Amino acid sequence: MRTVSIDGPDGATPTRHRLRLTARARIGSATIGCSGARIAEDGATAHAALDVVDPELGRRSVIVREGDRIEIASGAVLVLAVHPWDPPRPAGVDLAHVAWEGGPAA
Amino acid sequence: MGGFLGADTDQLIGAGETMEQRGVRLEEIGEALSAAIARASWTGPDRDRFCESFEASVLPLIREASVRLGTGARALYRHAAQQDLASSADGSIDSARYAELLEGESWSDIINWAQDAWEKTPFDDPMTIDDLGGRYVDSPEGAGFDPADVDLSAEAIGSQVMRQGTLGDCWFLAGLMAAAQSDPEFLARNITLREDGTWDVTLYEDGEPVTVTVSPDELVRDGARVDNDGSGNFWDDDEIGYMSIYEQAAINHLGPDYESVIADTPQAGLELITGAGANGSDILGGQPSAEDLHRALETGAPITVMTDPIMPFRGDLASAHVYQVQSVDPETEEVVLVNPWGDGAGKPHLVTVPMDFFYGNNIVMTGVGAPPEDWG
Repeated sequence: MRTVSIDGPDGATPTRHRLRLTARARIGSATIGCSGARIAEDGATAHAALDVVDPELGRRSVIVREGDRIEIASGAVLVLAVHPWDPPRPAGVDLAHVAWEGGPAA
Repeated sequence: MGGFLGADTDQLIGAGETMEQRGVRLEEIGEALSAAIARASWTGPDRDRFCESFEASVLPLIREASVRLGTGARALYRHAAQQDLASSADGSIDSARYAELLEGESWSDIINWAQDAWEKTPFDDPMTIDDLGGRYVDSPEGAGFDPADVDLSAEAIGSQVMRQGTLGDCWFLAGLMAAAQSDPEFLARNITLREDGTWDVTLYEDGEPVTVTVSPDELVRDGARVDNDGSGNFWDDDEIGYMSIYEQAAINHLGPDYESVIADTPQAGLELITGAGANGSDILGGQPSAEDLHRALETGAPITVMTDPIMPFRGDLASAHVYQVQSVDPETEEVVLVNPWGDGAGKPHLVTVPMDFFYGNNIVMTGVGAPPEDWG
């Protein structure tokens, strides 16, 4: 399994991204859109729908919660927080991208 | 606008109690239906299929609706508590009243919730230009950018594909797409390249024209663009287009920061762009029929719709997202929606949905603009 390290000796610096609901952002090798952010059916936790387009890995839609991790060609994307739809507050997800140690996967 | 802001908390609590009671009742109905089906003298594969379908498809929806009503009720109680707190001269309210309504949430919880609602978190901070990739002119693809190279002809505006970027301004961009389909010459007339290399864009405030100047230096790297590469998803190839300039004009006009263009109604976008009043409808007041939408499109009226912010996640539609209504077939009652994300995104560019989708509460707001002869 490939590894990530926020304090890695090779200087892989994580980047943080605030992704608003209905918007997309370039994160590492991927473009990630947030197509949903809401309280889950259990009424207690928040989850979000992310649409990931990675030139190397293709397209996929994933449902994530805080603490989840998505792998993309350039590294790992960690879900730091999910902000559910609750106007007037902004909704979306806080993400961190951490590059694979040793550079992108071949 | 009158001087009253806020709410009658007794009415909020009354509405919340009604929602809560109906939610409980709905759950009871679901359980009663399930029990009635189980008791029925019916055996065989048809029965098994029916029960499986009911348990898998119908009952979860009933339960979810019940939970949503309960959640909505509690949200109303919290809003009432927040309102009472805001209106209280000494910062005190009847804690017992809300403690009972909010079942187990202590007075401290209520206060904390109200405080949380007012305190901003880092996520709430306005988006900065760094969040949006920096300045376009400083990016590799923006090097040597010449404003005169942007094709602002009606032909270009009418044919280009929108690609939304990192701003959640679909309400505005979908309005632009709809207006471009209806009358691209209007949009072309409303952007002028000045001699100094900036653009003047005409937007409308309460029907009155407002000229907004946009500089190339203001354009962000990850803003709206012309989707140039079909089903590809390579943003660097996407050129600056009318949508990029219009988007920045909206930011400058609505101000003070990029956050000012994030989230609004379909109706608001159409009015800001066309200057003419738009009809807004929602699930509470009733949605237009397929025939209504078809007739409006035939007059050239731009139409945009917003999806349910809290619907279960779907494969082809984003939540709380505003789409352009491109066409309506009144015979098949199908509507073609266009996603401002463009082609090659993680969601389809074009989505055909049956009209009963509207009535299924998946579309929560519709904006129908005026025909082009009334614009400006």
